[in-house]
Amino acid sequence: MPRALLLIIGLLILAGFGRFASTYTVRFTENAVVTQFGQADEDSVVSAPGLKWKLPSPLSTVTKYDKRARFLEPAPETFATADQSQLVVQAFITWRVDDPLTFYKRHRGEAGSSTSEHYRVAENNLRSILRSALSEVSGFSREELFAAGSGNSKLRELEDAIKRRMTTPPDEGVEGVGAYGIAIDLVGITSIELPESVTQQVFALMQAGREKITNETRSEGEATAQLITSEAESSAERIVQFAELRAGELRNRGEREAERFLARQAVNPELAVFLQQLKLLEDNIGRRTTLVLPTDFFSLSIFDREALDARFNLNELREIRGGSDQ
Amino acid sequence: MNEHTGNEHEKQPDNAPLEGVLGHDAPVEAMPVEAPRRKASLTLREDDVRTDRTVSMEAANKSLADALRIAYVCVQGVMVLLIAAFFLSGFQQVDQSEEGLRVRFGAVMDGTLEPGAHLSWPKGLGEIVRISQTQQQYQIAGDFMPSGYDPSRDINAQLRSGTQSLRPGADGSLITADGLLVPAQGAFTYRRDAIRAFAESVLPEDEEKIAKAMVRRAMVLAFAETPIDELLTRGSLVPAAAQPEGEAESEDDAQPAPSSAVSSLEGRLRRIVNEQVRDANYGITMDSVTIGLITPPLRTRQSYQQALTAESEARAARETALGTARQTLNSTAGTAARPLLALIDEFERRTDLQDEVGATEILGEIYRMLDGDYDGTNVEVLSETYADVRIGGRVASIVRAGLRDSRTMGDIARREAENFEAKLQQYTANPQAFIVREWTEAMNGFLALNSVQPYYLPPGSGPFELLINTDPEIARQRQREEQSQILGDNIEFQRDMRR
Repeated sequence: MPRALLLIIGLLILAGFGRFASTYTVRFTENAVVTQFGQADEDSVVSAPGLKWKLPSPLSTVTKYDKRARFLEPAPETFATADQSQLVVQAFITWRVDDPLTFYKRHRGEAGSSTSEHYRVAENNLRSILRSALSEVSGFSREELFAAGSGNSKLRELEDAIKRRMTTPPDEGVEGVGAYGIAIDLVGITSIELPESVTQQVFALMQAGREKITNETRSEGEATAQLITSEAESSAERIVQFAELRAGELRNRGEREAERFLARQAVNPELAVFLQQLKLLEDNIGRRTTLVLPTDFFSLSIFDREALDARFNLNELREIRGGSDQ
Repeated sequence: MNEHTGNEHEKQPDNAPLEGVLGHDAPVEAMPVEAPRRKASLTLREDDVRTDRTVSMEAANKSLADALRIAYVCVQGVMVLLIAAFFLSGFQQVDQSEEGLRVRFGAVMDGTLEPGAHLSWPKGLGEIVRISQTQQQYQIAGDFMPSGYDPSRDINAQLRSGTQSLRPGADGSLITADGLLVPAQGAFTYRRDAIRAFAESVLPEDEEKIAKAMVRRAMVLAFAETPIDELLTRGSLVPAAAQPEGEAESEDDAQPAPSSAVSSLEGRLRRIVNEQVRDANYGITMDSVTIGLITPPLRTRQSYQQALTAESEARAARETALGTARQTLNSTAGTAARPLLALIDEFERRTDLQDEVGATEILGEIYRMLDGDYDGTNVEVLSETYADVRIGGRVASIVRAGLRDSRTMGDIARREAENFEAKLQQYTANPQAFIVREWTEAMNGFLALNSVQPYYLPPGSGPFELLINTDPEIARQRQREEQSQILGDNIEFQRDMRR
């Protein structure tokens, strides 16, 4: 056992040394640039992940770049819009190493062999390019950037313009990010602010606007409440009118009912009237009423003996009345 | 003190000690033995030094041999353990809230790994990349708030002590569609729903920064397209705690209930972020973006508060008016008020159109409803259904009075006719006696009343003067009757309503 085990261990150690000396691994998140005697060409880029062979160091060196998106957000800066408004704009980008060979060549000399230094220098370059691209703000007025309604603001167009400018600068002699082996994934404006003096003016505007709205709201509220109340009263009155109309109809129905019975009294109207007058006397006169009546108040003239005589020829009544007068 | 001749080492056999070290069974006799010495000129002590020395060396050599043997075994064990650990380093566990990717020599080998135990190649040759699937939650707390804003402190106090202007780069805020400024806070949650894309695209240390930047960008964009009045609708976005003291709104306003405007804004924010996420193919999906706070800047806060107060007062006045209107209509016609109004509107419309037949038909419906024919039923008027219609209130009294009068008139007329016919026979039999009798009875009744005081003046009396005053008792009696009538109507109305 000892000899076999020693052999295995020895082989493993040898394999380990061999692995580190002559192979390298490209992770699925990486690209690699393999140089032979310091020389790199198009065949030097290894993008496919896996275990790769190489000449032992220092004959061959491998520089690996992470190809995942990296985040960069420089400090905000002031830019003038097309209508000469001052805006303090901050934007972010996500970027990645798109062309490892170009990235390697552009940064190897300046930043040495450390990849973290390559990234640091690249970010410095990107800051400068982004700052320059943010001047695209001048192509838009403030009203275009801030406009009510979904899709009406031109901030998206501004972002597109910034990205375009970073990729393909319009000015000759100015390099885009492609020249550094970099690709921009996202460009986004994360903050737009106003200069301090302008904020004071905006505040004053906001206050004035609110005061106007306050007054309008109060008067509108009162008017609305009044309208609701008066409409309700009007509606109630309309309903009452119909109810009274209905009540009148019902009463008319009663009148028509009474008509039938009144017709039955037509055989002796004088008697009917006399009976009604007596009923009036019994039911109402003298009850809760202070009443001074002339003796001839009733058409029957019941207080007037002569009138009764004339009407009914009441000789016998005269005798009775003569007795009571005495 | 022993005296040595100094040449004993030169005569040791070369191989004897080595064999002992290597652990072979070297005999004690094989240990080096000193060669015979010449006679000493001086002997200080006579003891068995050589024997003692031999025994001592023998023990030391044995201990050393044992130690080396143990060390050798330990080294062997450690190496075996290291080799085992190396091979077992590929054995990893993917938790319930995770998904994994199997990686061999840097390349992703197959699809995603579900939760459970998984074996990959040993460390250095392979790995299992585990990615959490739990919802990630972050806040946009201070980016769009005044400088020095501390989310852990009372926001109300912080807003009160804020600056009168905003310093760019220090005091955050958002610009609205109408060019005004609002501080705001938000929060968001997202998931890594495509782990392969996520693992290939996003640098872990930049993940949070990228997610936050995308949400901040969405807020800038959404606010740039939304007027401030829409953002501050009903003031519901200003939490009660943020309102200045003494300016608290009604209970309704104190509750920060999300309005439809807020829901719409949050929906738009989520869409904006997800559009960008899709474009970048970062393998994440934004689940929610919520706006925790939108508040006017400090300097304008009082004006906004006054506007909110005015709005609240206007709303309260409107609610009060609506309540009064409901009460007015209920006290007028009970629950039948609204269908009656609909019918009346329709009646007037048809009348205007000179549709007499239709108008008469509608009027009949109105009368039936006023008569209470539909009480307790659901009534459909012009495709709208009114539940549990019941006539009541003033209208019910009016209609009932009409009905009562109608019945009373008939009854009275019938009784009078019957009375007339009964007395007509008496009158026909003896008119004079009948008249006298009837008149006498009536006069007796009249004169017997307590309220009647007859005064008799002798014939030939001069001018008669009567002083007339208002009878206060009559006035009081009338007032009592009126109050009683009103009370009766109210009781009847309430009874109707309860039914």
